[in-house]
Amino acid sequence: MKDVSALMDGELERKRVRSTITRLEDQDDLRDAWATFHVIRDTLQGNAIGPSRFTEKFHERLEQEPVPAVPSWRAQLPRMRTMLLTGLGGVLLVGSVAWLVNRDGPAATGRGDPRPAPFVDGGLNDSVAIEFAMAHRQLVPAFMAAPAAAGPADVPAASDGVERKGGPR
Amino acid sequence: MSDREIDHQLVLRAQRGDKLAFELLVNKYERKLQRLLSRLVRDPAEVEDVTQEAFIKAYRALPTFRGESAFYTWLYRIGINTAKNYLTAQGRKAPATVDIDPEDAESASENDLARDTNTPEQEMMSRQVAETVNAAMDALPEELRSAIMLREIEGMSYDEIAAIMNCPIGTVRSRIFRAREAIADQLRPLLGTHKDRRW
Repeated sequence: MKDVSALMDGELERKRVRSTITRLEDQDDLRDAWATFHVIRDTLQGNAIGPSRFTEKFHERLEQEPVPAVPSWRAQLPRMRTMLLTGLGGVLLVGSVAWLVNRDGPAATGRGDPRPAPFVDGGLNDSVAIEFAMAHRQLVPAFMAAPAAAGPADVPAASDGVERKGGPR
Repeated sequence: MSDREIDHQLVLRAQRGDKLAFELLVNKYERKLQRLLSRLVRDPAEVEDVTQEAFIKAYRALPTFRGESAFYTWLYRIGINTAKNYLTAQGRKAPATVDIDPEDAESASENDLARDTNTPEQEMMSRQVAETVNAAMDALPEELRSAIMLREIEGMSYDEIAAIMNCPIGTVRSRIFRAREAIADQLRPLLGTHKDRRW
């Protein structure tokens, strides 16, 4: 009962609050102490109200009440929080990988150089590249393999075996 | 853990379907809420009905309570709205001179209002309760009487009382509890024991 007295004063150690409330609910004598101690408090503070059947009547009404349902969005909160944290974790992971890849500067990836890329005039002028393309002509578009014969980039070569629509004939 | 946090613990339990936890809150605030609502609804029998209704509305609204304000502030707002709706339904108006602030209601001294809240029979009983408490207080040893007065009337924390009484906090806790027990022993025949009560 000493714990009930300290509980109603807000002076009970945090670790004992839960167990004291549980005991308070389970034991009639403790609930009686809780009720009587509050009557004493209210009387000393000038709020004396004569005993009535208030508690009994309220208990009877409360018995008839269904347990109020927690809104579904609140019930979903833990799941939503998990999903949010998972998503945030994914973003952080991707961000970390991107940072690691880029941290050595443009030389490491060839990207990130703020200067504009050199202009390449239509075909491949580099002889090594042309030779490579010629050797792998089945893998590259025809206009790259034979720059001199190639038309505009959006016009497919007749030799690729695919009938295209919309191009000049 | 503060008083407000303890209320919140009880609310959390009630939100999980624990009706007893809500009844502990009712037992704590029923007299304060009745006192407050008696400013709006003068008839003692009506005050009790409106207070019951306010508690039921608070119970139904528990899922919406998020703990952003103190429980009693939230409860008092519900009580005031319930009383105003009741008066409107009766074709009456709330007294214009009554200015109720839930934040102030907790600390206001209301001896005269307590009298207004009682029926003649209840008034006699409340006078008996007050006399019994006062007599029990007078019979307490000085250190117990001082401890409980500093707590209940001055509203001091155990720390502050320990400093004033120059004793350890554990002694303060013990003195306040012993004082309450001594007064409760005298009061129980008037109030009835738990066997007579619903709980």
